[in-house]
Amino acid sequence: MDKQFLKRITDAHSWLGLIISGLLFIIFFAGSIALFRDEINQWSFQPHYEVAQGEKLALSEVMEKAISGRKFDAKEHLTIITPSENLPYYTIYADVEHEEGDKDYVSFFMDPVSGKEVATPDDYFLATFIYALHVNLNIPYGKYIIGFVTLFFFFALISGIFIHARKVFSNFFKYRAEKNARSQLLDMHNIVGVMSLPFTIMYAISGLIFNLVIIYQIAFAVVLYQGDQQALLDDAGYQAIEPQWLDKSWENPNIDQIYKATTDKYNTEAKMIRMYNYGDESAVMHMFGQVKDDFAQEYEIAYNLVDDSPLLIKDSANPNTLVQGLHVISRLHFGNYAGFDLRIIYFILGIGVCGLIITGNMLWLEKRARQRNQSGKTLKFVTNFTLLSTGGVVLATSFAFLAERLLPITFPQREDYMVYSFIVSLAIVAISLFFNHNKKLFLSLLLRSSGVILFLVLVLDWVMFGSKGLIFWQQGIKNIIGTEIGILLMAALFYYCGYKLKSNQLSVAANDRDDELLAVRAI
Amino acid sequence: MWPKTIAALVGGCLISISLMLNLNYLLPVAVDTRLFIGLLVSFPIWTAAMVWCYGSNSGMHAWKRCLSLLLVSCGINAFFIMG
Repeated sequence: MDKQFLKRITDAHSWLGLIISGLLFIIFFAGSIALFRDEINQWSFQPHYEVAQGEKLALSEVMEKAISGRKFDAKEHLTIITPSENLPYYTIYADVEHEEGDKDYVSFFMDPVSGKEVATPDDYFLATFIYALHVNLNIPYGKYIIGFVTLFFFFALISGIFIHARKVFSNFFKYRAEKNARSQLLDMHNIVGVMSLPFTIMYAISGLIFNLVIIYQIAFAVVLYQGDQQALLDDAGYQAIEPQWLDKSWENPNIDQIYKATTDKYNTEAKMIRMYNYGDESAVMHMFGQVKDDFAQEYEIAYNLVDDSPLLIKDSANPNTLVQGLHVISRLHFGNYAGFDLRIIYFILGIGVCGLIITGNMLWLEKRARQRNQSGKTLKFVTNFTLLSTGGVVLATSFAFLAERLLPITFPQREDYMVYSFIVSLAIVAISLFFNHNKKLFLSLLLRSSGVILFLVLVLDWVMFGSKGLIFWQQGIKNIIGTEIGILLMAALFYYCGYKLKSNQLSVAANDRDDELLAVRAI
Repeated sequence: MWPKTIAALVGGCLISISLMLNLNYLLPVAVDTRLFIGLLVSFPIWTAAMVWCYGSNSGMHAWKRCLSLLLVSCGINAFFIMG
């Protein structure tokens, strides 16, 4: 391969890698935690509430209770997410009549036995916040920013293959243990990069499809469909349901019978049910679900409730390659096509990529520090930026966990304060960076602090809820204890890494002092 | 590096769109399958174009590479659209 080409590609690899490193770390760190968002969500809210025992309400009763006493806008939608292993309540989203600028829907968890409102999903925002950090950074247009970061990440992967291709086999088991920091970092960067390559390529392509598909959608709609976006969506398998309001009351709609027939047909309950024109003769019942024991087969089915006639059926008997393909990509991306252990592997690989990002930045810094013409300000900025986007984000996430557990559930806008805890702790780390000259010791402090905070979260858990987690375990709800074990492991890992970093730094400083003393004595 | 980045982003995007449109006309499969294949290969094509741009001597060289390929691909696009 042309040496000049390789040199230019290597320059671009390190330049782009450095620019995107901060956001990329957040994407992978938040994404790795978000693999367990259902478990974290249940850990957040479940200890505050009991799990109802008894016979569940019929779906039609759930719908009636969902809109009862609310200014429900029947011409809009009523959406119901059915209880699952990780969330033993119905989640209701009901569109309501509202003033301009006000929220156009209400959302809440509903007890499946009593039909009472339990809580609102927004009160327990931690898991959603971390997931949103991964998807759109919780900022407007963040989805597209993440999309372009993912594009550059994909370039970094492909250019990394070009750079490392000749040594991929010969250097695969090479890990130089001698005290040359650059060799160690480079070996770590290469080995993690090679080992995680299939996983990272899958993540890059699926992430790009999720975030930047709009570019091709517009191009195809304009050129191939002469601007008819709906025709493109029809071919892509997305059919809009827009029944005309007839202003005639419905008569005994067979909601429960249709729901049961669908459950029997696909051998699984629908994950989501959406009602259109509820209470009117034109009402439509739209259901989405996952076909049991199938890798990525989902079904979508809608019925006119006036005569129980199907409006649309999309399943394995009526396949659409694009819809099915996107289901496969989604399952691969979220790692939910197998058991809990698969998500553990995904998590380890995700954290491995975080290591890849950090070692990449350290390699850049190490190389530039040896170049005499390199600006000290640039090096300082990159060092601080790397510390903030890695150690700072880890600490801020730990504080978010602490806030989620510490804030009383009666506290108004508790979700906002949880987000503030993340932002404020990140800001404090950013300010502290200017007053800390030994960056490795500061990173050690950040990691040890994160470990201590997470450990504190566990102590709070047991102080606030006692042995409730064990009672839930006996009831078959294992996510509370499971999440606590996960938090404990992460606390131990952060503290251990911070402690090792501090010990290494102190021994390096002691060696330097000994060398200086020897030099003075020699003089 | 910035001129190469602009060529890689804009030029690469246009190349991938143009090649995708050609692929959509050429593939003898159902429209939903064509759309899915297009979606799967579009981003790797964009990234391949980026590698090509960053491997160039300069931003101008990267643009020349992109435009030469784009000219050929857009010519085929025009042939399909008008034909």
